[in-house]
Amino acid sequence: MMRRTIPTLIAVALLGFYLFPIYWMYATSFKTLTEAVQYPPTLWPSEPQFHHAEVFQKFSVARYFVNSIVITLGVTAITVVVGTGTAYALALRRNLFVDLILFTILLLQALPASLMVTPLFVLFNMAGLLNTPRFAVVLAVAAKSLPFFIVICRTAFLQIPRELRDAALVDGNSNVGVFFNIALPLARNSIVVTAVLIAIQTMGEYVYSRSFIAKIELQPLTLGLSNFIGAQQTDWIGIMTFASILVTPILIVFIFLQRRIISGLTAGALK
Amino acid sequence: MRKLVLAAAAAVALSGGAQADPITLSVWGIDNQTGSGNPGYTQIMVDEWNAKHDDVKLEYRFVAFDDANNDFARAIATNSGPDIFMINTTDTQFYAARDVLVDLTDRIAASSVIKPSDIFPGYLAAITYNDRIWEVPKAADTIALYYNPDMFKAAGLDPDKPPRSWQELHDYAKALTKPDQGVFGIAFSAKNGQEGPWQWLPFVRMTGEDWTNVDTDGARRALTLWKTFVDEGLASKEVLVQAQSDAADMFRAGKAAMVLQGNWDLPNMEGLPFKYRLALLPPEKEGGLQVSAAGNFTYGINKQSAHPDEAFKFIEYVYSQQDRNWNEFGLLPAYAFEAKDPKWPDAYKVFTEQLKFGRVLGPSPRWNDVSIALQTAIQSALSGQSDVDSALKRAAAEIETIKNEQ
Amino acid sequence: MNRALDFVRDRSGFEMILIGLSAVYLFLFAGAPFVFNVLMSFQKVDLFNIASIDRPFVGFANYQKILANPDFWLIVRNTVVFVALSSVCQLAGGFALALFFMQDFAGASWLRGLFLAAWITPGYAIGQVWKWMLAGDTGIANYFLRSLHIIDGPVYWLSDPSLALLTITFVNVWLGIPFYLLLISVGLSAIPRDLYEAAELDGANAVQRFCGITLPLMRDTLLALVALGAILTLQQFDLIAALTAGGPVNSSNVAQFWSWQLSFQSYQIGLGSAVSVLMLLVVVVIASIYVAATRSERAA
Repeated sequence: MMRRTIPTLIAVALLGFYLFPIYWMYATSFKTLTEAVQYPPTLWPSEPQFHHAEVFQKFSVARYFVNSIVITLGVTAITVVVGTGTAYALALRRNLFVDLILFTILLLQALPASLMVTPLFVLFNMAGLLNTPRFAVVLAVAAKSLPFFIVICRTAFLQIPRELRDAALVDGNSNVGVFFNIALPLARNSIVVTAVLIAIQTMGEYVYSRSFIAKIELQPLTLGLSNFIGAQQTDWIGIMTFASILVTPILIVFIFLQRRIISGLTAGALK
Repeated sequence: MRKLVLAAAAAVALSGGAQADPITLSVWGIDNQTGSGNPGYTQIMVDEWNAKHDDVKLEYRFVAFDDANNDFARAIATNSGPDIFMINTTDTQFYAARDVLVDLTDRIAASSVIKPSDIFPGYLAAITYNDRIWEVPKAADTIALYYNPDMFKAAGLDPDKPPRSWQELHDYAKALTKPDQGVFGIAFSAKNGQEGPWQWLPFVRMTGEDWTNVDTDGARRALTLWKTFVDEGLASKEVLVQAQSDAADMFRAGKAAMVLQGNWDLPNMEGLPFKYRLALLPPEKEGGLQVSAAGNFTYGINKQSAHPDEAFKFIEYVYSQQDRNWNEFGLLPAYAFEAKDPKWPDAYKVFTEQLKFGRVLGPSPRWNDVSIALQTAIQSALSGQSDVDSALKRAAAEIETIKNEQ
Repeated sequence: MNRALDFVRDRSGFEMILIGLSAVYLFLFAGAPFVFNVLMSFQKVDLFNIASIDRPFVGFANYQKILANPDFWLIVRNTVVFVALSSVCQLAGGFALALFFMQDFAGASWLRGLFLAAWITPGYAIGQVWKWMLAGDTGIANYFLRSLHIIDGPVYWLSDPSLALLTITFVNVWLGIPFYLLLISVGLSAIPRDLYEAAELDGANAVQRFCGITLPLMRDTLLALVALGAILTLQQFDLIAALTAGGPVNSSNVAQFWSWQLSFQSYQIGLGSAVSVLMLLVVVVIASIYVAATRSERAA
């Protein structure tokens, strides 16, 4: 019994240690600016301020949320749909062609969004895509997530034994069938986890959203944050409040989801 | 008969059409009352204008400050820009020089509202390029010395007698520094960004020198002053990474007895365990040349705008409302103005007095590059990586190159 | 019609479509901007001709200027240290945590996902939180360390030129660990348990099992992670902007931040592009090593 609880305690301690900055963000959101900067720092606000409901309403957090989710779903969908097949195809064999593609894919990942945004802005403007700005953001962000997704999921497909595929082909499956019936299920864990990582990253996307989405009704959460940033000063408590409002539901959803998603990881022994 | 009816119908249609659709102008700005969810100054002006006018309607779009210039540039490049946009005083020359703004000189000369002679000289210098005026100031900011009178008393200093010279500033800071309590005499920003030069340049200027040549005794004395603060432990080493707001946080936390900070921070100075007081930035020698910083934003009209005259009318309107700046928005006006019954009257007095001596950064179309040269000098001297002389020599050489490239 | 279907069913045809989809997509939305940027590095660019292709051509002048900049080598060194140290620490930390959480104890499977909470939080907010925590005079980090008597006086994590780079590396490692943790976990869970059992029966101890089974089987995953992780670290911007702004005196300035400074603070966009192209050279190296190292992978 003791042996089973000690690791759990260690795990909780590690998490606590690691997540302390997140706790700090929450704690600060309940403080006044004066208390937030005092020394010695207070671990818990002495007179908690509850601006959260006010911020939620005043800054239309719900609407920002919806936009963020729309963009995130779009990016994840495109990345998974377009990238999974590519990851599979690139795992099938290894030759110069594959080498080159892998190399190029990694290279395309390398430029930061702040540099890609201007040519994309001009491109989208010419194509009229800026009239559907969230879609434009989805397209741009997916282009950044795709290489990431492909490289990682490819390693999952690599681990599928050749014999399995050959057997399926002999059994009369077409190549398409092998992909959908054999390969996909086996790589499911990687795909799901990587998709989750990409989704989370996209929720934090700022550069493209900021440049393409002018209408405030369509803006995602990250742009909502910029309401608190002024030319000379920034309302840090406001930012912490907004950030904690933003993080909480995602965290809750995540905790529930991951019990199902990540638990699949420990089940995944390949025979 | 039918012809008559048709003609009448046409006349009605035409007259309906003569009451043309309102012209819509777009205004982009960085205003929103930070973190309050309340509309910022420009939005309020826009709303007031729209309530009063039917023929010309305005739309305001908030653009976050950190990337505003890029947004404008992209918009201009794709001809999708606004009619009016806000330009930081550090960038006014840059925009004017690139010929993307409408020349406002004649319109201002004909205006009964905007009088260049009223505008504080620092701002006038910023908006004038090649003897033409290109922007109109919206409001003014400056910095002064906030200090903690309780700490003064505890150190045996008279809170009614703030430092009046650099020597006194230094000596006061020394008396106020309490290392065992972790309290510093003074705090300021020497951060790697525009804030460092913004706070430091006034000191250079007080010696009679300027950024155009920092390889001078005056500039050396100004940098030595700051360096001494850090070397002697009168200011924290953290000034190298602190923004003005971080330095002000130290003051609020009771970790610094004095701080260089601006008028925009007044709301955050309420509710502290002590009552702050304000003083003008001390000149080098008592009674000597007084200088402070001056900044904030201006409005400019996009050259691509189809309606520059209407746009100018809006700018005139905003300018005419500057006397409400302080009481309603906590903003200082960019021209000398006596507010009746101002909020925070003591603060108001100090800041308006300070503004008289305010000088903007630059002005130069390549201010950003100059700023980087100055930032490097400040940072290398204060961190001890180089001595004051070599740091400033390097900066001066760099600035010379920039000036020649123009 | 049949022949077209056969082409699809035929191995090469199907593959080509799968790859082709991504290729076209990336070409349009990543390739074009990429080329645009490389082009910009050879031109004289400022804020107002940033969107046109037609700009004065200056050959290698931008590169010469960058290389002649007195801070160039410092920034190169900083970047190398930042990326290498981050990658090593993130890998080691992520792996250690992944191994720990592979054990069978209450909550093991789902507790590890909580590490992602850091990714969920907006970078801007997290950067400031760390700034507050690491503040020399008022930060809680120093407060803890002083209470535990590990240090005597304030340590200036952010404003001491000799510490600044290490500090941002530390925060970057903190940020990157969940990425490694999760993906290594996925890889580890794919290793059949019976391999370990068989090895144990054969008398192999934990270290031998690790080196003989775990590492070889994880090789592909690890190489992919390190390559991607290094590229992600190269691009890290928010943290540096929030914590030190590249200071003091460029001691924590790395290529990515410098490129931003050149492009968006002083509007010398040609120079900023040149720096980012130089960064690309680093990525070329990383990508080449990755491609070469994975050539011997087990083909599926």
